[in-house]
Amino acid sequence: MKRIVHYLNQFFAGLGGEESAGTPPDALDGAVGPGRLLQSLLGEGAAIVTTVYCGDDHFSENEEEATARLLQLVKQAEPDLLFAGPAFGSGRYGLACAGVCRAVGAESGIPVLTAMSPSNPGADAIRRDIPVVETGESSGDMRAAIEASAPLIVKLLTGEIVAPGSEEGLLPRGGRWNTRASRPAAERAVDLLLAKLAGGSMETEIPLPPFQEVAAAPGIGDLGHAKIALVTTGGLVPRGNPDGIKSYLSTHFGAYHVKEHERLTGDEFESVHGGFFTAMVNEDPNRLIPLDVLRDAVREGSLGGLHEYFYSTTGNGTPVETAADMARDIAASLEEDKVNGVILTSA
Amino acid sequence: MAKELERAGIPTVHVTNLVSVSENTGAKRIMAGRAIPHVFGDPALGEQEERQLRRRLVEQALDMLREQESGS
Repeated sequence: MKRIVHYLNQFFAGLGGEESAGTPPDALDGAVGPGRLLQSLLGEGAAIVTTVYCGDDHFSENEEEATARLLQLVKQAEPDLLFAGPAFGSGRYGLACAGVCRAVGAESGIPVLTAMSPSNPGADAIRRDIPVVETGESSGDMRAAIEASAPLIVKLLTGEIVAPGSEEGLLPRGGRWNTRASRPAAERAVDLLLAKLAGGSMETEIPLPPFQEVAAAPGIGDLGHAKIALVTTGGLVPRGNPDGIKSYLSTHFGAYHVKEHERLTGDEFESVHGGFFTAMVNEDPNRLIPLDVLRDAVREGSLGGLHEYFYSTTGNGTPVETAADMARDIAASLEEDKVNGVILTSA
Repeated sequence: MAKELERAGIPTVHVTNLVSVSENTGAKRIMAGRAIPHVFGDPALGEQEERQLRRRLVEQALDMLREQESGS
């Protein structure tokens, strides 16, 4: 019987939500949470012998140490394969899955597999090196994600060659496979061109990488005459959320007037972000928008001034394009108000 | 967001604890904050010490805006 170790975050391991995200690594016997469904699909030939887990915040903040500890826990279970996730669209969880898979793969040489959505930053980090099963954005897709992962686990365990990503339900791995196309390249190219000219839908055979390069803006130089603005993706808004900023998949931002404020208080502001533990920010919003100490810097003359508004949205599952659109709007008003630089904070 | 602000010519320092996410998207000025749920503070410190810590972090962020070259 083949032995599998399953990696989960604190939530899927049943230890709690964001309030438990600081949980250090540890192991549990057998299958837990989504591992039980996976076990039922694997049949007799393979068993999840151990579940290892770590809180998402703990992993991001102590990556080296947490990875070393998890590696140790995985080794103790003497597995034939490691499966991590599914992490869906959760960035911290996805990065942890990626980190654990990379470490275990490199250290022990056993096959590793993880599952997450294409937009997860963890996917970009490893999909070229490690097979990543494509999932939806949320745990509502759990059954489909596990059902897609089980046959791949079996293939990896039996040493069967895993075909190009698109045929296996994996994210594109950037590799090249020799394959025989049904029609010659010239015909396909002309078809693509005709489809493009007709304004119809066309699917390129070589998609471009999604992130564009941007050149850095010149530095400010003299801060004593510079005006700085504060922007956050941490979802800080006036209590009651007057603009209805969404806690997840945010589509717009708010601009909040703080010209008269010496500091921000929890009586007046709160975070509506749905993806991190907001209690510490709600207790003292300056932990997210450091207005109080910037006021000190302006008073002492080391900084020229502070923009009278701060801008806020939630960076929680927000598609890159939506975020870019919001930032373009913010940039336009900052330019108009002659702002020289931005401190952008994210939880 | 950081990239779009930079593209508009406004130097922007992204203060985050998910530095690798920011790097992957290609942000130009990235600084690690104190911790995910409190980038510019630390509830474990006393009020004065926390404020001093915040001031140091803000100075570090301002330095990255002042300079020509990016760092992380």
